[in-house]
Amino acid sequence: MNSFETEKLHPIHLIFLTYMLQSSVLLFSLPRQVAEVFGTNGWVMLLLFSGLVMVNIYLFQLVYEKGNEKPIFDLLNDALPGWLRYPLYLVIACVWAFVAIVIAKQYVFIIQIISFPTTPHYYLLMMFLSMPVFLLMYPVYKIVRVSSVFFMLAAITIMLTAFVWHEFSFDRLTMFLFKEAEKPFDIGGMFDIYSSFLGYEACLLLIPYITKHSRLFRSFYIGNGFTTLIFVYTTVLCMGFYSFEQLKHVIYPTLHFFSYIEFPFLIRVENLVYSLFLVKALVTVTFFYWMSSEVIQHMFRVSNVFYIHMGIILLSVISMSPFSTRQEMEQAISWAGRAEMAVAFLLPLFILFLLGRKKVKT
Amino acid sequence: MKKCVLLALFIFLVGCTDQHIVENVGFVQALGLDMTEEQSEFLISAVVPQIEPDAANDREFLTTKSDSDKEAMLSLSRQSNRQIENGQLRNVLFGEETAKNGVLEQINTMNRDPIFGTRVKVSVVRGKAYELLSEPYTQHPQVSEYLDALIEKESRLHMAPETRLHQFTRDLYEKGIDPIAPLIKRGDDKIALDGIALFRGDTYVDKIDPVDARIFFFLHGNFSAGAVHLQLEDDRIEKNVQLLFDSIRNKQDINVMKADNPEDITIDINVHIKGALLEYNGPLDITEDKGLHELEQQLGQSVEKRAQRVIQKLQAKQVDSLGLGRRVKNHLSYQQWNGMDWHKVYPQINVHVHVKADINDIGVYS
Repeated sequence: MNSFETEKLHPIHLIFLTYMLQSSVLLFSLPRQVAEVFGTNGWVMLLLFSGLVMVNIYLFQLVYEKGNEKPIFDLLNDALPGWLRYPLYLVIACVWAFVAIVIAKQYVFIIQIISFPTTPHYYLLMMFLSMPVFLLMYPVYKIVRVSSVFFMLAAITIMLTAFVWHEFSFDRLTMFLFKEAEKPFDIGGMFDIYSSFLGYEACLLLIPYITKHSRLFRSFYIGNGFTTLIFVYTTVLCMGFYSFEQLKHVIYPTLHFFSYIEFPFLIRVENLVYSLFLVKALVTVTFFYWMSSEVIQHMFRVSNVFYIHMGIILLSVISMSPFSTRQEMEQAISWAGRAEMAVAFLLPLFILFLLGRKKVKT
Repeated sequence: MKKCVLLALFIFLVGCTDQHIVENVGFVQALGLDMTEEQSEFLISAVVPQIEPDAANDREFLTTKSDSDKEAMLSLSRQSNRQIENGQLRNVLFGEETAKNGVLEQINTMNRDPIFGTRVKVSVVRGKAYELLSEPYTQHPQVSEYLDALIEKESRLHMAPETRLHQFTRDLYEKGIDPIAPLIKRGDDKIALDGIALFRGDTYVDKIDPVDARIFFFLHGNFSAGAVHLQLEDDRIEKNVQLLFDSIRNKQDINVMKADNPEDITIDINVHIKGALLEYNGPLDITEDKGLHELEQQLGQSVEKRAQRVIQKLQAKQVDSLGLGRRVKNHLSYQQWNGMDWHKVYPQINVHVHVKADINDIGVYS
């Protein structure tokens, strides 16, 4: 008997998971992107984006309720013919696998810039990806619990920010709203900022693994609220720590300000921080591979899912190999974010449409 | 089985790349940047702690001339049997001439390279940084540590600003404030603080003398440290009265009164200082409340006069080292602020300093 059948997902695990999925490597550059796109006090717009995320989660909740609490694959299998279903599944699986590899590679890219400039990136990527491979050997219930443990480690980074408060000044935030943006309200830039919130779509695939007590959607609403709080806090902190023009020049402001922290026994704290960020990236990457593999498993019957995991990981690594410079990586992140966003919004709407059509027929 | 395969893979992947073996690396602790006599190239000096047990010197001193500081690092490496790295760099010293020519490019280079970190201290040297770093200080053979401790102590006592790469870059890029840095000079077998270097944008323009540094910091922000020596004029005696005000706690508050015309903007800087009186050789009886209050007033007026002189100097040089522009910005609409050339308006505005001094105690002997 699988462990998820004997144990339930606790709401607190799901809240932690939401934060871990949403807040990954994109948080490193989020304050700069907000400054570039929205200008002074652009953090206000993060609240609006968070509202959009809540709407998106509400769409998932509607799918859950209108679909009589059935897993989404059951709903799609019932409503769609094979010739339509398989290409759809393939696209979704590819998008999620692409998101996973983009996050993994971006993380590797950042640690390469900071600590391992001459180590080949594929070597670091192999090291990194061996961890999701281990995690994927366990049922999703265990991955979620591991995420909760990792959350505790990631929380250290939040606490460390207290050591830069003395350099924070409200004067630097200015009284101006949405001024001096480099790309004012640029659509592409706004998509990139919204991408930072993504990851919550995992809740759609967790439906088969929950009980009434898991309170899946309430946990994801709370988790998103917590993520928003951290995003707003980080952005405000950066806007008061850096001068506004400087912020627009710092590529990874969230990581950069940790280099200002110094203890009598420890300097260059940013090296510790990106190691702690590993756990966030790890949870996100593992989950997206798991989601991709779940979709693939509804296309092919394979006795050993290990081969599916390995296959997805290998194919994603190969597909990502042309992207290696920062510009290429940013392009890949941008594409992955947009594709992920499309799936997050269109998939529940499509299922709701199918459910509505079925209701009309009956 | 598959777990064993993966574990083996994991173990084999643990390799050794990007090694930095401490014995093989020379960590630069202080870096000097000067212009050559011909003003065509950079003269870069680096101090690396010595690890050879039999070496006569406690430090390795390397110099090179180059068009760029990055090329210079490669050139410095060629002079040492160790790999030269900047990961432990504590101090960057700009020679006076280099600072006068503008340091934007060098600051940007340091920010771009993650190895530098943001805590590197930035200072200006009167004369050449090369001369300051090359001197064999007999009482302090480890010049980099001596220099670092000196600047750190002075900034803790608020006699010099704590200017790290982060603060310098931040103020350099912010409209409404100009960067400042400690100004140091080479003395006779010693290094001494020579005041505060004032920048307009990235260019060093003038300095605040060490005797006025404390007054500058009264205006700059809140702090709790140090002492100030003042000379008061009193009609009742011929010579000047000497006064030492110690263990100071300072509170500063800036009020901006906006006006339609930018030149009519008025700024009131209210300074409240509290401290202990450790030296006084004037005619007042400071053991009596009346005498003490009168002295407090004299002290306040004296600080006020000197503070006003500091402000006049800053305005005359068009350097907004106190960040008054940042305060003004928050009292104006974006259109007003954006349409204003702050460096031109700044010398015209009215800045008034009001000082209130409180003497907490007069020591333990009356």
